[in-house]
Amino acid sequence: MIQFSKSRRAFLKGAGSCIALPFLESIFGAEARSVDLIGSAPRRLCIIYGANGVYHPDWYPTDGSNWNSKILAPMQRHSSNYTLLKGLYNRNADYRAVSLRGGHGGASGAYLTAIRPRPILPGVFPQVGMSMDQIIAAEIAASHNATRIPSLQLMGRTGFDIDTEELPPVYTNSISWSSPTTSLIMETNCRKTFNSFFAGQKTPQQRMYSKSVLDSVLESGNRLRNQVSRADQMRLDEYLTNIRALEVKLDVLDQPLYQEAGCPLNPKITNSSPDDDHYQENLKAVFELAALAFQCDLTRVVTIMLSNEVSNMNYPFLNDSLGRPIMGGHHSMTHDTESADRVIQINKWEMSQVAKFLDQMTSIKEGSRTLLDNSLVVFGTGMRDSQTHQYDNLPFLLAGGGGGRIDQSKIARFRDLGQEVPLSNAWLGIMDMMMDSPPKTFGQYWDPSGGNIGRPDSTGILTF
Amino acid sequence: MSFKLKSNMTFLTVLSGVMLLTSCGRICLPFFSNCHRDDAESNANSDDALSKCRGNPGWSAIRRLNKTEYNNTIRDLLGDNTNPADQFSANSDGINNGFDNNGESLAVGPSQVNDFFTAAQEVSLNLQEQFTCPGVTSARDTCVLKTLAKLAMKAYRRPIGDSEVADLVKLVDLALANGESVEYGIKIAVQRILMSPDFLFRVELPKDNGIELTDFELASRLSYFLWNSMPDDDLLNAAATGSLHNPEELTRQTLRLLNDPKAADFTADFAEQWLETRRLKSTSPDATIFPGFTKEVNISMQTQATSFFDVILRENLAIRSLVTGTFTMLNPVLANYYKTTVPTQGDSFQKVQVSDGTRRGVLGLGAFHVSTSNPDGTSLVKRGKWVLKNLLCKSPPPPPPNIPPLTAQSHAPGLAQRKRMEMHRADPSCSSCHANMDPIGASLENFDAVSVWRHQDNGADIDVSGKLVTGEPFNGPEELAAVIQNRPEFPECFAEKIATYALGRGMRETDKCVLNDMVALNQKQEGGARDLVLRIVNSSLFTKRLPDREDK
Repeated sequence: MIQFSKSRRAFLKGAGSCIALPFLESIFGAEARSVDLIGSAPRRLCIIYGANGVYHPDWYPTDGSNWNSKILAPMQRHSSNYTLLKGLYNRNADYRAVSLRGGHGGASGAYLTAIRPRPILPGVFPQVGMSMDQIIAAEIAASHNATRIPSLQLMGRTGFDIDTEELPPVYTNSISWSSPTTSLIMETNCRKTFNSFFAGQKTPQQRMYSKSVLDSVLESGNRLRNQVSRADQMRLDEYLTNIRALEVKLDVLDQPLYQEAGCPLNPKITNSSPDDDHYQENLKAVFELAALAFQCDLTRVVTIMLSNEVSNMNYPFLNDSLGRPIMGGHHSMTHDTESADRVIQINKWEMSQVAKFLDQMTSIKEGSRTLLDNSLVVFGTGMRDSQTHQYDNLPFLLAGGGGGRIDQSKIARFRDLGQEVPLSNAWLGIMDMMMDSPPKTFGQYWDPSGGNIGRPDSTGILTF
Repeated sequence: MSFKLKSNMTFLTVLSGVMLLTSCGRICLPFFSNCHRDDAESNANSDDALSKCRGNPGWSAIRRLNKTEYNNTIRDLLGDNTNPADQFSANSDGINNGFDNNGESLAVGPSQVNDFFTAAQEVSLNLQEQFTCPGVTSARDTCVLKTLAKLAMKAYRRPIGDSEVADLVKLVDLALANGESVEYGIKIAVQRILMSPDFLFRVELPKDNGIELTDFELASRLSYFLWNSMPDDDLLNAAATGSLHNPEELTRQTLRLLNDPKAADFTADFAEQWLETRRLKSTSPDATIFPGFTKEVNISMQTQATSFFDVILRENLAIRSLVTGTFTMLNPVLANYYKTTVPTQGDSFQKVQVSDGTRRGVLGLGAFHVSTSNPDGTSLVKRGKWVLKNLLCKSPPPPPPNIPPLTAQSHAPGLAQRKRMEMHRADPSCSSCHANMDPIGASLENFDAVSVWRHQDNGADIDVSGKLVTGEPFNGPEELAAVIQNRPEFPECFAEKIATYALGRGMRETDKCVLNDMVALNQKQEGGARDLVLRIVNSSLFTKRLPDREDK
């Protein structure tokens, strides 16, 4: 990957965004013509996950030319910035063939992993697979220009709604897995996350003490590791791995902020709290955090869950078509066709929040391009339809230019891929755009008939 | 071997007739089709049911302290009441088998490790005077050595080796070499203790000989079960003298812990997860429909549920009193809200006798009615499922795919929810499971979504008659409670929930076999809820552990 040097970025920022190409050429020489400026900027990925599917009859436009999707109406102003895919199927989310309570645990657990989450049994750890966002984050972390934060996971609210039992809440509360057994916490406390962005160790001496403490912990931890049973070693390994990661982070946190890139000198986010009474503010703060993290190049990989996958929250700030506040619980309402109108209003509001996030990303200039040009933003859900738990024709919206990998003005705004294309094919396509050495296959197809365990889930790379 | 034979027989019986194959190819078992041992009675003379059930004590995963345990342990170790874990990320304790103390789901990802380190730093800065050595300038001063050794021993909940103290002294030396005081060095050493896996995890090591836990491991099991915290000096001393495996001493300690105020943490933590009333903390019924349901009522309902269980356990009342006891816990707020005529004194919760039967037992708890309702109305299905899942351990399977939804016609005014669900049930693919759940929910329809007693639903009179799929008829909550009390699954289910919480893992079939024997013996000897806890603590399940996970 051609790295976007700080000096070049600094120059671009200083020169403003109206700079003309011939001038660039004279500064950088003939090379500038062949180097796609967008292509050499840091590429960012943001995956936004919506809970409980969407009301699918009103998601896809019935008429591509008129673009009459009710739910996507708030995205109208970004219509040249995104493409809509139809036909993706997450077969690993679908447990019905094996008579298990796949439901929502499968929807979110298998979403970015393309592996069937392991049902809970005594003595069996929750297990799925490393998620695609973490595969990308791991490559960046191992590169010579690692970011301060390897990746960021955020969620709009804290509330715990429904225990999904056989596929326990560990699968519905997160879509990001840094190892097959470590689900990453989707942080809901925005103030805490914001503070962690800028909190280094206060003095070099304190950093030294911290590292000594952690070194000592690692030493004794390794001794203990050799005494415990094999199964417990897995948990201790997880602990020791993340102690080591914390040590690395202590160093990285003290590096200067990337202010040349346009990181604001006094960054701010909306005041909020993660309870349901402040959901609007908190979700706003979540998107502000994501944009800020990208803008300051704190991280290049962000996953956002609007809520946990079986969210049953109310939307008293929204009205149904009769003007009544939307109560009734999101999850419960998706199981009641009488509530379709209310579910549509919720989905529409969700898309208005995504549209605002895209506004924000468009307003942040990076050289002659915008942050959105340099990013891929996916909005999707783990179910097509949460009323009958369907995992085919998943809503999948891809926005942004991916640092020159996609020209949204030239690709179809709506693509019907046909029937049951594995979702993992799309993730392979995105990894292909985001990584220097993308994997060739992804996920694992768990055949309901019992055979073919270990077969890659993907059947090919989806090109955009 | 009889267990195996019996279970095969039951399986065949199920295949031959009772099992229903739905139109969608999905199997829906009626909920009373599990296997039961046929020789439970003959085994019921011995508490050592383990060998009779041909099982083993099982393996529990290493358990990381969850948030409640972390707060309490910091309090008991350092006298620090700041509850640092309240700042940890939401969802950092996973939930398995319905509880947040399950070893398998207590992960230690980057977020948790970060939170632990931040807490260790902050806690060490607030260290109380008793952990300092004023005027001392050497890391090898007796005060320093004693302070660190004592802290580490209590923090790791076992005797510690010289090298472990030496590791801590090194950090004090480091501070001194950098011009800091001994006090500061001790703070750094405390951070080290609080980040040690020996502190953050409850370590149970494989044994060279046998599967018996050490006395110290057993002490931790006991204190984290009944206090959600570390063992105190008395318990550690019992472990040090090697007397904890003596059933008399183990019983004495168990009763002592249960009688301590700290046990209120356990009864509340267990009850609010078992009865799923924790959800009330984020429940908001539609205030335009239910203006009377105030924050105060909500909080009172939560306390009612947990204190109800607390009384049953601590007073060693019969397990059946969980459903059919003639009392409940009330404060003036709830007495007024439920419109009971019972006089209450003061502001606190009291145990009061209720005569009419509707507010008795867990089925009469407002917290149950509210947590199983939608914000705008009751749900027969959720209430029915709650009873099956939490009182009988017969969680119904998920709905089949392509379920025909409740149609517009079924929402017509004048139709009670019961009637609507009957229309829904007309579909054979739904009826097999809903026949289990809906009659139970329907019998509780007099309690509206915020637990106010009513006689009509959607303009229609409420019919609370029904029967279990096994045939027992009932009419309303009082009779439903009596039917549940008589199901053998009810006390067995209670034992399963307690043991799941106590062991931090799900119950295997062999564990259930052992537990069922204990329940049978307990009933035969007219033991109460606390007696059952004592039996579980004294059983092999609690005092032993396999060296490693069985192969899956």
